[in-house]
Amino acid sequence: MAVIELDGLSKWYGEVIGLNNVTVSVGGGITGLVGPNGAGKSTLMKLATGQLHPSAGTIRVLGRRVWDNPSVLSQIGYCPEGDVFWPEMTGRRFVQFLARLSGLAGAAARSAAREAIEQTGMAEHMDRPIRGYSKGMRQRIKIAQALAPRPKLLILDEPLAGTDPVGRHELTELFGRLAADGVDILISSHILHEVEALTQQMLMIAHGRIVAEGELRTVRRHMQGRPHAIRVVADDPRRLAAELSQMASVTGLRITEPDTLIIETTLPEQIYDCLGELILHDQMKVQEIAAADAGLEAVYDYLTRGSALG
Amino acid sequence: MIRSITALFGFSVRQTVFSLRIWVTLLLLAVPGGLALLIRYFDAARLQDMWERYHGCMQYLMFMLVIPLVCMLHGTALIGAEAEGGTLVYLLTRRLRRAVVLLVRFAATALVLVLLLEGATCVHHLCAVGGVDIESLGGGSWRPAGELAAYLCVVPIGVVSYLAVFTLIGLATKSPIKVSILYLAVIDLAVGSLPVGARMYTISDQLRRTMLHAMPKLARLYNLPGELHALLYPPGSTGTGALVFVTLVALLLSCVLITVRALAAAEPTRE
Repeated sequence: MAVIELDGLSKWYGEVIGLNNVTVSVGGGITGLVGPNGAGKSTLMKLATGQLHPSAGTIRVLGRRVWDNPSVLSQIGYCPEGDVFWPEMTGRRFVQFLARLSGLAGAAARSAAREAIEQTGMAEHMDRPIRGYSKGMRQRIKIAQALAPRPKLLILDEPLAGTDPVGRHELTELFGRLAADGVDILISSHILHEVEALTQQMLMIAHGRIVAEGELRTVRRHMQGRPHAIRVVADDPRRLAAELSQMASVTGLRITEPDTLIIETTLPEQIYDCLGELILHDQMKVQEIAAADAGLEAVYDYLTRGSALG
Repeated sequence: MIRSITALFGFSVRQTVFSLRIWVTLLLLAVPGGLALLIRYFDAARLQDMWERYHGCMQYLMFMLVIPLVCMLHGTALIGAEAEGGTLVYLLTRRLRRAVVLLVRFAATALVLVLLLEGATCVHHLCAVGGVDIESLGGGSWRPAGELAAYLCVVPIGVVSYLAVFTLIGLATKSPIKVSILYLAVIDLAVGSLPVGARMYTISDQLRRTMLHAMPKLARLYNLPGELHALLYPPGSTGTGALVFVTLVALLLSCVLITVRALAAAEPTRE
């Protein structure tokens, strides 16, 4: 059964198009919603959580309309993209309050909040005010509030943004476990490889249209041979460069700042795998990994043109 | 649903009590009492002056400025502050209908403001006439305690009416503070003070009508010619019904607005 069904769905903001006549079904399990910034990912998620009205078409979540429908909303856990909190609250109070708002009684809300906080690795920091949290901690506590009511469907808008590689790995594993427990997940990202670690089921979106959907293999064919640049912020970029220079798929290496390495490659997935190995086994300290150029944008443009042509 | 409502109510009460707005509110609430103390300290008034100052302070300061300004401060932020901060998403994507979210927040804010303003009314009373032996001053029929009770009954009606109107303004306009100030200055204060029938369409006049009903002697304070007074405030008329009507209409419109309007921050980045 389709978890989310979009039928001719469009959303305009005045003259700006957010989504353009999208018809697609999102099935169970984990589905990645991938696209560059401004592609329409957040618009789609806001429509799926009843925050926005469609300009045209319909959207059904868990078989029912979602706008102002508590019976559907109570089954969705939503992690918004923005850095939005009541900053004076502690992490525990934040998750607990939202669990109670989802209908859990006092004791049940407390235990559900505690469990969700532990799942996201925030137990140590839960009694500190959110205003003192790092970006990665804020992401985790946002995910915890989405998990606490034990929803059937999780809608996560860029949940891995701002997390460090270790945190990313932990959260990826958590999402995998949740999916194995029967929770359906729609997760958005502008980094294809981030989602790839979670699922093979993709929706690629660009310029408000779904440009590719289904198994990642299909999408990947379009990416082979395209040059990509990956930006890595690390304690020792020179050592990292030395390790990576032996790889055949690396076409260039540049240290642009004392802690920043730009890797040029035709096979980015190989580089991401290798970086993971270096971090986990060689104790390489890496603060950030991100797509550094418009490589993905180029693929999306390519796919958009492809979908327009045919 | 009851659990969700209880959680939101408690949260909204705490939010109102511990928000930064509460400091401005407390400052405003301290004005009538403070002024009464100052007058009492520097000017040992005659009984007649004391009566006029007591009611003048309540009528012109408390009811025409303090209550509207406090309600404006909190009413426009009731939903607007959450929408602006982005946290509204957490309230609207749970198991409560949008209208219920609005009504619960309204009830919580109204409760806090009523308690605060009742407190400020009592403080003003104590500062103005506390410890004064009215009888020895030849007070005759003046019973300040009875009049305090009448004010304490009217304050909640005023708070709820103004709060409902400012909540609606907060939801319906993009610059709620500017629109609210304009509404207060042009409609509520200016039109509400004109010696014409149109004044009855303002909250301030309906509050005056309600207070006159409870305390007919207040007519002396308004200083209107007898005929005009009788025309504007026919004997026995009260503004309570009109204020309840205004409150219900404003709340109904607010519920409709929050139900049909997308309040999520939409951030389109390209054309």
